[in-house]
Amino acid sequence: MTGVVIGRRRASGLSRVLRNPHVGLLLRCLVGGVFVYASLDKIQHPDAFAQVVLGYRMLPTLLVVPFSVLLPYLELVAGGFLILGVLRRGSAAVITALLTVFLVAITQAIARDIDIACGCFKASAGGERLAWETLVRDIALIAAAVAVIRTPRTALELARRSRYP
Amino acid sequence: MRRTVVEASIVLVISLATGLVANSRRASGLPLDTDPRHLVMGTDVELVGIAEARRAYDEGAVMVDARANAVFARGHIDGAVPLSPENLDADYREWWEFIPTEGPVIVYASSAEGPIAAARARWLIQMGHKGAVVLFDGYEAWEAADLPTAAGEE
Repeated sequence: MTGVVIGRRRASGLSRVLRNPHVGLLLRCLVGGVFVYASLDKIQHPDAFAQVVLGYRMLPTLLVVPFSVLLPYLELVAGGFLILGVLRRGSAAVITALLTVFLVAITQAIARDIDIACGCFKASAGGERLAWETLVRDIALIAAAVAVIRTPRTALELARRSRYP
Repeated sequence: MRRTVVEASIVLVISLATGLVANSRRASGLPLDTDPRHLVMGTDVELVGIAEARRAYDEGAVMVDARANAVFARGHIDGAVPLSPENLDADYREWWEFIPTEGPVIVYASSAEGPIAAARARWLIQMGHKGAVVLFDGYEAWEAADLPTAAGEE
């Protein structure tokens, strides 16, 4: 009984921290910054990134180039919007969806023992290799993105809708 | 929840539109119908998968091994002609009569050496063997599929 009460207190304590608008701003900048940074090299080198995506052996060959070309812009726009506080929940939801797709892709590649570059921040095949640490980082970012969706408001949002609670 | 979905859809549309416009205007942009395997190979030589290669092999296509001599000796596709990087001219002089000028020729290397196989196929096409294509998945996939292999120098 005591454990349940302490657990609730802890949960409510964490929830209070996450609802703090400044913590929300920090999480927005962290997740958004990671995504904007991750998009830049891929936008510069779509051909190299397409080869990394092909290496995951998840997509039909026909879809590899359209995915490789468009994904970095999705990362750039969603990440940029999140930092600025424009369409905050929608941007965080897109990022959560992307991170979930990455989670599946990385897990299946590790499970199939495919030794390839992650393609997370560098488009080239010589970048960071896939590892369990990549998964942990992905899960941490999902948690942060979900917190950004759930928090009622965050500080310094460029376009906050007054109808939000 | 509904508002989040609507917002996410807006972000999605803006991103895709930005991506399509930017990709079409940038010098480094890629046509969306590009075959990514050609990017890996560094050339647009025709590529075949393991199933297609097997079918062609059964129908008498000539297989050309583009790997080094020592690797070839350890194991190769049964009946393959060696065109090693270290003795390309000598190997070609020895084996050219077995490589058809019109019929199918399938060039392979290890899966990590796709560009080498592609370069060798392009070289064969220049030498007049117009049917040269590349086994994209490489020798390892052939071996993993339990297809006919042999060891030794020839």
